[in-house]
Amino acid sequence: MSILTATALFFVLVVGIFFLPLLPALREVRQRVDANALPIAADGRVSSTYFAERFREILRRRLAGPLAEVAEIGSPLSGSIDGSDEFVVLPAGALAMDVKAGERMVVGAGDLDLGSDRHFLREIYAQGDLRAGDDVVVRATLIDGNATFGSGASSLRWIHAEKDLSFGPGAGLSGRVSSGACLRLDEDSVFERVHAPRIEFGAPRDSTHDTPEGRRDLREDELPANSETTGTRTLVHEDFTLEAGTRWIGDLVVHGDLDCGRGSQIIGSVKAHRVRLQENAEVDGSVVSTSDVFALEGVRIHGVLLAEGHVELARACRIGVEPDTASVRAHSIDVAPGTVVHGAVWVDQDEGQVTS
Amino acid sequence: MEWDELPITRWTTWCDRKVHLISRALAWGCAVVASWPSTALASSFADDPIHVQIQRVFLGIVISLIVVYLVRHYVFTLNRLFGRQRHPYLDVGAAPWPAVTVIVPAHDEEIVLPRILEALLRVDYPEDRLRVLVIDDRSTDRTPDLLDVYANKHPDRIVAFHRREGPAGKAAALRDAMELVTTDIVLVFDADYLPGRGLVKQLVSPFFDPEVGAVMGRVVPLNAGRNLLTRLLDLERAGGYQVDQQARMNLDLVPQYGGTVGGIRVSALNAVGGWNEKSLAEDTDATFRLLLGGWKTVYQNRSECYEEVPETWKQRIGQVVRWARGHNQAMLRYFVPLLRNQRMPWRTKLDGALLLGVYALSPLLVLAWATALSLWHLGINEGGTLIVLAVACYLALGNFATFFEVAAATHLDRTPQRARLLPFLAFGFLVTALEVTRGAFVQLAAASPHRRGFWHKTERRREP
Repeated sequence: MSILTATALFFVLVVGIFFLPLLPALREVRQRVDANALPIAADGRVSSTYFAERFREILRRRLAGPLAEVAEIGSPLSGSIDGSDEFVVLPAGALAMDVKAGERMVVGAGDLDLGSDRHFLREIYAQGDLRAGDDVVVRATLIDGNATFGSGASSLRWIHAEKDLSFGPGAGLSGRVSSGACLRLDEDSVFERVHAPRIEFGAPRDSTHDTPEGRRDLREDELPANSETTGTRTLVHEDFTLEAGTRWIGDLVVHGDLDCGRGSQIIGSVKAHRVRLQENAEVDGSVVSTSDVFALEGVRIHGVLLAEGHVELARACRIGVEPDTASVRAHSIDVAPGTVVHGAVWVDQDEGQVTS
Repeated sequence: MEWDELPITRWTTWCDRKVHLISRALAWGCAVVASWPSTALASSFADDPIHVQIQRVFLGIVISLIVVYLVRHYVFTLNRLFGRQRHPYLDVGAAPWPAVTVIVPAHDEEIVLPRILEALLRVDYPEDRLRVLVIDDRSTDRTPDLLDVYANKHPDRIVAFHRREGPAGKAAALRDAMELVTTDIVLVFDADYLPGRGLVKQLVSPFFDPEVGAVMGRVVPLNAGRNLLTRLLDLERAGGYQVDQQARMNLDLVPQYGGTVGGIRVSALNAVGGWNEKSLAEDTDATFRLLLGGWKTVYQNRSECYEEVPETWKQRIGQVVRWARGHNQAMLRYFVPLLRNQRMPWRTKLDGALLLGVYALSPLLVLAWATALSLWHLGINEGGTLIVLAVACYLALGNFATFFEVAAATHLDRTPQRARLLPFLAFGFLVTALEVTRGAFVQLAAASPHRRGFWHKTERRREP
């Protein structure tokens, strides 16, 4: 092989090695397989009623006719949407299980009864109230009126009632559960995302502890020495305990753990690593934690409660103040019976449970 | 459950530890690599003339800096792929929503203004708690007329601010507009952005945290597929937001407020001096002043908003040079105060310092190339100066860490086909490095403390 040939081969080899990584790139430039703008989150996807609203739109567009027809003739009507999604429309007061509706979309033209111990693996809609006995499993449910489920009920994806929605003990609620009025979860229930103007975990009850008559205002000179105050916000660079029966006015950021004593009050928002709110403590703003929050009996939080770890709400806690709503959001949440939340409780990793 | 009996062992915690270990190993490995050129260059150091000694030290420093940035890219990417992801303010569906002002700075924005106003009128936020304040800053097109039409049609929701005097520039316009703001929270959107219905709530949610001074959402190019440049910018943005910003958020470091698709707590900003109208990058300036004042800037990766990226190289170069000048200005201003801050954790200081220095690296690198060549011509190549030069070029123009980061972003975005374009990014990096260097030298030559601001705009292409 001559030097010239060897040089030429070497040159071709070098050029080949250099351009090799460019071949897929050039192909992508020519073919534009993935050239569209990145899709971003759909509008309102975070809304608790997102799926319910989409289903209602399908009902409005595709099933308004059959619903009106059944309301007029008073007997069931079967059919399918585009030849694939089978549905059955039932007259008011019908028992869904009588028509073997388990694997069809069930649409009630009035009140609807799901019976007991039945599985409904397609969408359910009730134009009136809905009643379900024990151990009923539903997948996606929209109710225009009130809804009552017995013990051991399960919802697999979402459920929304325009009025009151209540579950008996031991409910397993995956996905989104929402109500336009009052949502009641009983003991031993587990949930992921619940949302309603009023959410009752077990029967509401008041704190058994007394709130102090007058709270003493904490002075700035009682804070740790290295604290810094800017405007209405105070930074504390170590663990901090707010004494029982005292009041702090302003936002409080603690670079450590925060312990609010019994009956103490913060007129503002707080942030800390771990937060412990003792009996009847009250926070006028938000509570934010980079770890866990423990709210003991009778705690009141007027704003949102956000924790990057675990949240425990003891009996008789109140989160949010009507008409304003608030959210509780954490990786896992335990709620004792007797607590009321006005707004939303969303668990983003594990699950929430109503303890017994 | 007792106070100290928390079940904290989770999969994510396990991953965190692994990432931590890998990061440490990487850091040690890179320290060894970084020490090699220094050691090599230091051989027979004492016998060299002083100018050679200076060149060797400079080269060693630059290469060490590059290695530090390399480690930083790897740590961020590994964190995004395997570490615990923090989205602490995501999906706050119900809250006592505070009053908010959305500021839209506009200078000759007739093409895009109606669309953003329509979008803002549709957002999911209590109407009585949301005002849109549009700054018409000396527009010469139909922007003032269009704005007046909307303000007259929605007098309770849209406020027109026709600014006809005062210093030019976005920072100065924002500073003047703040006199009309009565809320403690402002969101800022450039006029070519298209906020979705839920975006305002998502950007307001972090302000329930009393430590948060600013929030930044994710910017997504709408015209990504227009040409090769927009596709490369789409990749860069993906790497910058999906990996860089979110990793900083995960690691509790210094996410950056980007000046648009973001918000500021007015009381926090005022506490640190308000908008700095002399700054060429009011967003970076605000980020660091808030940081020094004890306020956090947080990043919301899922608060996404479309933007229009430059479609020509001329526009792109202008944009990146502008960013570089503003960033370098902030570096000169805040680098020392940041390092001298007593209260800040060292890792926050380190990340802040590295963030400040990103645009200073290109001119340093070009100087390092020149130094390496100079040493080689002087015959000082026994330590492998050319190899050092090659390593420096490789690290700067297309180091694997940056590619890894962008590829990881496409993986996280579930758009893996885009990663095929990665080799072309090297050309983009080369252009950026050279232009940023040119911009830095021009900035040095024209440095003036009394320099006046002016409006820099990217030409709008979207149909009205």
